[in-house]
Amino acid sequence: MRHLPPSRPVTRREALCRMGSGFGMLSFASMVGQSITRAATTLDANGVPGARIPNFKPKAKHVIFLFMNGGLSQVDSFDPKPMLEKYHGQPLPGEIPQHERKTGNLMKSPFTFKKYGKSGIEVSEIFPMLGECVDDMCIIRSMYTDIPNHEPSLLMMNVGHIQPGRPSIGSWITYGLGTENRNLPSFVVLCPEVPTTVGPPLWNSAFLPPVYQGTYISDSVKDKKFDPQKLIANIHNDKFDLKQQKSEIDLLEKLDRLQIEQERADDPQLEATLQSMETAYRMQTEAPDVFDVRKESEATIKLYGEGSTARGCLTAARLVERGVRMVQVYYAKGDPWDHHFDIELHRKNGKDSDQPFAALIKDLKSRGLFDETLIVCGSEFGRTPVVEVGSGFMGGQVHNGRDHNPHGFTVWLAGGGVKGGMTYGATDDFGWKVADKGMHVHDLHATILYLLGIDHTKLTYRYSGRDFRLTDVAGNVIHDIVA
Amino acid sequence: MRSVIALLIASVPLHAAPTASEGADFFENKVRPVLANNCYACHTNSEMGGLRVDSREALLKGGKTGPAVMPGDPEKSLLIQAVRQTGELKMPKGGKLKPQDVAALAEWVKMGAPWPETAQTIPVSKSKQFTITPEQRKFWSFQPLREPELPQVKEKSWAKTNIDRLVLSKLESEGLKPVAPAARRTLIRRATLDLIGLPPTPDEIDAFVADKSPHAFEKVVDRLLASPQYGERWGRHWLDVVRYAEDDVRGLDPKDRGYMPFSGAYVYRDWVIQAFNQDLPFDAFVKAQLAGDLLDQKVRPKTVAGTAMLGQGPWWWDQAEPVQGRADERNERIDLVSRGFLGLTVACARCHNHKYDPISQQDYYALAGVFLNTTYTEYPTSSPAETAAWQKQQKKIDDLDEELDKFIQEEGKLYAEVVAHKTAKYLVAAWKVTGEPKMKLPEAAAEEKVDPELLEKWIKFLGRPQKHYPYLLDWQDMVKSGGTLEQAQFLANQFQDVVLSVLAEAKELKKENDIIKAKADVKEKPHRDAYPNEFETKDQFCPGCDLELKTMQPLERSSIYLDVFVYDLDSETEQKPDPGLLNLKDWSLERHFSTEVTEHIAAVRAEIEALKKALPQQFPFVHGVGDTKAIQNMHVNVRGNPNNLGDEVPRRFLAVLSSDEPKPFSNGSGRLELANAVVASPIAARVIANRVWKWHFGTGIVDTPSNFGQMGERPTNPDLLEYLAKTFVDNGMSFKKLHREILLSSVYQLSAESSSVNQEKDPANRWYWRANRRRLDAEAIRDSVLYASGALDLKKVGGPATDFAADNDRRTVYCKVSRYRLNDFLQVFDFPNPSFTAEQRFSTNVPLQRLFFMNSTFVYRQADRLAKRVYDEGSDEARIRKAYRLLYGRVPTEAEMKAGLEFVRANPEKPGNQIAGEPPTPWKQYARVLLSSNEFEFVN
Repeated sequence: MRHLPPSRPVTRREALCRMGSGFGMLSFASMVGQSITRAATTLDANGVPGARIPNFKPKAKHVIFLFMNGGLSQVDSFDPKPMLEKYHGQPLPGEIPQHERKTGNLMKSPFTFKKYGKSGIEVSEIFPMLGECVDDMCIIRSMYTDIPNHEPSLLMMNVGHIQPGRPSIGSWITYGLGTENRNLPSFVVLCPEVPTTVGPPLWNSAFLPPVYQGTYISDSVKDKKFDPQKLIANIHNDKFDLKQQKSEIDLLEKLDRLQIEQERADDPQLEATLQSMETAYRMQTEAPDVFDVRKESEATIKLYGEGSTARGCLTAARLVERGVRMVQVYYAKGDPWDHHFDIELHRKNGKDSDQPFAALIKDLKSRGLFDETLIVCGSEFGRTPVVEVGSGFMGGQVHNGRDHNPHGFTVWLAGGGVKGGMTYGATDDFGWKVADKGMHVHDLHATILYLLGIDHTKLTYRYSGRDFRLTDVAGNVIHDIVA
Repeated sequence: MRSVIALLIASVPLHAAPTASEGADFFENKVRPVLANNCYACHTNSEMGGLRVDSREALLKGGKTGPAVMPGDPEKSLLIQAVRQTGELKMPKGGKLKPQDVAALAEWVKMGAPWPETAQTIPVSKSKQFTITPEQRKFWSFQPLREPELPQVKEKSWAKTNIDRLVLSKLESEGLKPVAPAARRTLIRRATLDLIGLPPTPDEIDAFVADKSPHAFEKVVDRLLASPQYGERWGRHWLDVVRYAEDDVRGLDPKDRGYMPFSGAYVYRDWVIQAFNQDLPFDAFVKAQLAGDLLDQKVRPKTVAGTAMLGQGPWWWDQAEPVQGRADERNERIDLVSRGFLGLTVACARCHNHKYDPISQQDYYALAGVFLNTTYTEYPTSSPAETAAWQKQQKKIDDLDEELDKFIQEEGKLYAEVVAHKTAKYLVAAWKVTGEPKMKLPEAAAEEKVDPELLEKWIKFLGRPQKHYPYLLDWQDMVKSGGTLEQAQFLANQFQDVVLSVLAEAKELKKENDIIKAKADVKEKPHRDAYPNEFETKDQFCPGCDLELKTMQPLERSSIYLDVFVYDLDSETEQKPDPGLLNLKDWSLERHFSTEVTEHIAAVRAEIEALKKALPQQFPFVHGVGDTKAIQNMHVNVRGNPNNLGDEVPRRFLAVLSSDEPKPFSNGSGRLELANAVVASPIAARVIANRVWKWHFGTGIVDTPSNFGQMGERPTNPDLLEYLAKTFVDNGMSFKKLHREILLSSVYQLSAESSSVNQEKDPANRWYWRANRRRLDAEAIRDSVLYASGALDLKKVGGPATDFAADNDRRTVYCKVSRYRLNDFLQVFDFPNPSFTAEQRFSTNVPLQRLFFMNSTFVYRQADRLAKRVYDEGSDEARIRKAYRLLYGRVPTEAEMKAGLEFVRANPEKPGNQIAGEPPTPWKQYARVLLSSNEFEFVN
């Protein structure tokens, strides 16, 4: 087979069918050997390739990405700016950076900040419970991105590029690492309602094989008839019980085996369908079970509180507990944190998310999962320290809000290999632009992959004539935040 | 010792190579071609890894990892280690040199790496002038089509056709033997699924098995090619390449955020199906899709539908700044046309010259210029009168909808103003309830003549925390300290004054701001069906965002305004705040309207409903493209940045595919000239011939079907590909003739059986010694299930796409294809992402696919129908035999019969449970098991 690149241990077609259990997909990268160097594949008792050895010793095994879509204002949450208070109502000195709409003078935060924990990091009053967890959090105050519009920036944060059509970070991670639980999807996206702005392209596998697509699950609490059986397509059979199903599967296996014999077909594809049938059978019990948060103790449910974000965070904890690689929790559909006209609305959103976010940190700790789970929490961009004055809302006569700001914003991380109780980088005196240790979204991605044990420059996929990667041609691992 | 020799050789002048003429000949014949064909792409001007291989000095100097050549010592030479691929460094990337070439390189190094004097270094291109070297031009896929010599083969009887001779010659030279031919039952199933995407009927199988004529299979193939289902199958293959979809991801669609359907998308899909059924020659097919609007007036009505390939997006203008979005759209079109039609990755040259292929950034912007002058254009397929009538009625509905919304909004504002004037009354009433009098709410409301429901809201509001509602401080203190009616009345009057004054200020500011906006001529938000060509400026993207409007000052006043008239930040509803105190909505508001107003609203709503019902199905559009009026050239975008412009580049075709300097396009956008150049390119014929072969066999002769460049695969059987491409062109680019020739070959008719010798030598079957066993694709699976149950509706052809409902019995090609959210079934069965040109389909095997068979309503429904079809037979044995005949076209074996009988008899239905006219449950289960089997889901 000298016409084939020697790095391929099996043909792509064989590799794909051997994956067998592709919800429980295994690391495709490891099997085709085309991307991660020194990727190693181990075979389990059934001869199915298992998890590969990563590039580095991984510090985290799972990622939970809490997405405050719309744009969290840094100066009203995690990046206090006394100078704003002092110069409230005055014009910003110097040149105004590019943003979306017309803005006016500097505007102080309507919220007060307080020091928390041993680290004494200041957190705004909209996140009081999260503030109590600050010693576990690594607050990056020097994030920046490229464009002050939601769509491109949402895409940048999720797929590493400003247009749709690149694989989502979750797809890259599952492509590289495979999954630990073949009975569950390995990349799950939770949002009360689809669409969010941009929507499914944010969790698309794009040119990676379709098995790496995020599985979107609506966890709206508005739906009173919440039924975990209905969350995944075809997961439940309401006509036959498991025993009856088993008899069908037994017959099917018998007939399939007879056919293999008759045709003397030695084809791994045929063997693989038998295996995936077994997995599918088991999934029917396991998958609905994991989404049924009602099975948690009253204390746990109380810890998280009520609402979609609470349920999303709790579901995320249950999913990673069962080996799911990546879970994304979106706050709500649309751009719910996009407070152009009244930043006080942040208070409302804070009320819905403060308790669940804090609960997630505490709960992961009590489950013993905190150290192996990386929590990432942030938005596609931040907001301006100056008030917005453009048109659009209520005839334009009310302006207590802030415009989009890609030049400096905050993202916080916790758990899985990052240092707690620290801040990294800084914005300028007013919180507009990065002033110290800027961290581009590509750098964040590179660092997330690093924490998972992946070298972001080696996680590649050949498509359309070139090797693609999550971080494109950029990205630096920020070692300062690694524990 | 060795190092001394190396030193000696290295120090002698280059033109005095030790074995002068011999060495030179060896170099020119054996070494230079190898370097040129395999290494120059990355290691000349691109200097990948810091290495050039086009001069002896460069090789001795080496790259980042050290000298590439140690003259005299192949073992120590990195170049040799790399091409032998024994160590870490493996070259060429993604492939391997032929053993004889590796040997030649090693031999040459051993000779001391002689490099004759005449060997010129490729000029270092420092200037913008991009040069294509003769070696690059000689790359296999750029060559004119040639007629390959038909080789002599040993197994003459096996080689029935020219294709067979070419395949067999390769097999024989590699020491492989074709396996036995497929059984007739297998063959007709393969051919039928292959050509029309459905299994054969039992009668068709019987007829073919019984047909002793030497032309039996030929008859089958001709029947299938003439079937209208052929286009539904092969048209769908093409739709993968052109990333056909019926909607687009559009952030600014105001009505249904994120989702924007192309209502007439199906016109293009049906046009493609028809093109295949009518065997439209490929060149005409391509021209229609690139330039159907520019062809001769006489044919134009038939070709304009093709331009929807470009018109149906994806459009990205509203995903970012328009300048960036437009640049990305052009990039997408270049990617589609270059990979889809030409097998070249031209999009790689957006930011710099192509790293591997001789494609310059100028080439890229020459093509981008074509798309710069191509704009979204709709072509109605109905009469102008019909079109106008529909549009008029739709507009009426939209206008009424908008008017009603506005009316209710205004009424709500009026009502808020009315009750705002009663603020003091509400406060006093609230005091009567919460203060000293401790009255019951209804009594207090009655006494003050206020609405009890709203009073309740007021009471809640007045109790809000002072931290966020500092203006309530005085009131709350007064109530707490047991204030009197006079005190309450005083504060109530004061608060009413504040409420009325912020309301008045807001109204005044709105008037002023409306004037500012009117002066600036701000356009309204895009309308419902905003076209992809409507956004060019930032102001269209974000209307009024650049204005500076007047604002209520100070902050506290606007807080009061928001709390009272806009929203309630402390409401319990999650995610979205409830409406503010006096911002009444829906029933809370409408119950206060007068009878006249209520009647008016009801009447308008009824009118809208009636109009919607009466609206005929929308006339179909072609969502195509046309030329812009003012034609311009692109400027090179320096490093791909559309805001950093370099030289102007005339619109023209790719230099490497043009024999001379490519002539600038002069006719409008140049799309027609582009189309003509594409179809005249030999590489286009190779690409499509290889695609057809891959669709038939599962693997391509080049298995990177959209990349025929350096980084693509080399053909496993070059002569075979040449033959197919040449024959295709000679036969007038007829798909049907190509299918026929392929299907009638012995190689197509091989069985899928294995052979250990072959398996060892060619495990991936890249030289076609057997048939590949393949899982059916998404469409074939769904269609086959419907076909087996007897429910498939083959009569309903074309038209608007239908949902994947369980009771939808149409072929899958007519089901919805969404870029925004791909249907779960399609997704699970590996349908390609319809946002990009797809070169192939994956074939995964995941549990979700099994769950579809185990639990989906669709499969249940079809299994029940199948059970019913079968159960009409008189005995259990006959029923099982019928099921096997319908599904697999064969008789069950004894073991299969036994297993089936055991199953249906093991759990007989309890008497009374069976529904009249329906088969017992075990038969339904049995039918589902048979539908879920590998035999049904795979074709071999």
